[in-house]
Amino acid sequence: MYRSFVGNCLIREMEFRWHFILYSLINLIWMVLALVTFVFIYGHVSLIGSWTLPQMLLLTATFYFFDRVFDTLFEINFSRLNHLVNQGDLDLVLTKPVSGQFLVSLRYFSFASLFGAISMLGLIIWLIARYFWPLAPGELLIYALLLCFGLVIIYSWWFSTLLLVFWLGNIDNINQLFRPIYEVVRIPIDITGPILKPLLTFVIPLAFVATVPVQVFTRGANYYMLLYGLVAAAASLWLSHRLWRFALRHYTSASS
Amino acid sequence: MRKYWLIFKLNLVEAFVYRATSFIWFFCDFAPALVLVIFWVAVFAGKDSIAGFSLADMLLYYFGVMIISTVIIPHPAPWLAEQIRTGQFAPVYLLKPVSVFWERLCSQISWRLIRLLFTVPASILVGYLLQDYLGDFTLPLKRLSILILALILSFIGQLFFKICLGLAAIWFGDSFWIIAFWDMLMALLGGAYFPLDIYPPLVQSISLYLPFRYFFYFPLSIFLGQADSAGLIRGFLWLGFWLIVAGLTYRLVLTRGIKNYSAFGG
Repeated sequence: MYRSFVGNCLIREMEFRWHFILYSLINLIWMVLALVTFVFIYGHVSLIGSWTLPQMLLLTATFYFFDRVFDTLFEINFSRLNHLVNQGDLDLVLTKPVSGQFLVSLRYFSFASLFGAISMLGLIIWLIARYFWPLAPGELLIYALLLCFGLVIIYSWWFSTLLLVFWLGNIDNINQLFRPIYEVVRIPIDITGPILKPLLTFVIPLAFVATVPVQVFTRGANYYMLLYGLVAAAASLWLSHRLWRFALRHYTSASS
Repeated sequence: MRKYWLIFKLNLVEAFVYRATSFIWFFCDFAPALVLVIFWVAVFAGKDSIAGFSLADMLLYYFGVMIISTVIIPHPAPWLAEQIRTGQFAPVYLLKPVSVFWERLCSQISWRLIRLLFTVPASILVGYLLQDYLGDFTLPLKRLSILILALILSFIGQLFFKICLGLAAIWFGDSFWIIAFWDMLMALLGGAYFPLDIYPPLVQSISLYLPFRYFFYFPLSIFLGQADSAGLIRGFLWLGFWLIVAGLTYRLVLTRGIKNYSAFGG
């Protein structure tokens, strides 16, 4: 089913080829400029917290890779939930013999951010080969696993914030509510201070987006964090599903 | 002008009804600067000065960014692009005696007024939390008047340009990419992301000849009290120049756009 969704979206995307090409290009320029800005900042300092320039570049590249993958999979779907709920179109989702949460979260696939994600993956590989090689056995796998846990965690928290539309009515930018909170992951979580650091590592575990995965290469694999990431991802996903079920009980539809 | 007063009042009511929407946009504009405050506190650990900025200067800078971002950055483009894409542009603007600019101006001002409900208390709270760093900061009446003038001119100039970005959907079908491009340049060359002083001289020189610096960094420098008399005159001349360019660009794009516009559906 998901393959059909992706194929359908590819056809749709190709109707706006120039938008796809130009958006991909702008996306790439934005990420490159953000990375270059850190080079300028490190012209004035040698360390930020305990982070050197290559480590900071790897963190930023990891953040952008994560962000573009997230946009590819979820962002376009999240922007549609408000419309589904307030126009009553959610009826069509709920009457299908498929998980409603799956359909509203993954029905559309955005190719516009995919080029950015691939570019950042290339940069991550180059940075690792240039500055962090050789790696200890399993470090790459742990890095990838932690990113997957981060994806599930961010999806779950972000999705949960969208559910407010079931109570608050029409909020056409509800998909942006979590973004300012999520912004904090673009900087190393361990420099955020004694209150935010544990909060963003253990309570709202946003550190799993970039900081914790990159620390695999800078401080070595931490198996406790790997285990915690698995637990946090599973708990977040479970909680988001419970909230979805709870929110559905307040759905009254809007059609005649 | 009565019709625009009515449009303003209608938008004000709408913005008040959808105040959650307004809050989220405020939050999106306000929070990134808070993240950068945290970032710079870490950068300054053990350092007295970076690119001529002390930590207090830098925190004051982002305090200004937070306030100015929420007040003077209009967002008319995505809505206009959506109207064009869905064929609603003609019923709203072409079949009624309504100017695109004035209608969008009324709408943006009303939404920004409601946004002040969040901006003012949030700024007071952040100002209180950063009081150790902002202790000497004052905004005398004369500088405040100059700042308000710069903010108004910047707001109108940006509005003209951003309407053009929205109207680009007439040619491209979707103008999201060009809006993203503008926002990127504004963040980098306007100084909303990082102070322009940390960039190399070449980038700073380029920024002198583009509008972004005058739309954002110039009002910010007035807010911070960094602009001297010569800088103020130079800044206002450039701002005036870009305002005229923006107005002429708007007229050109609108005239050509209406000739090219086509809509589908019944």
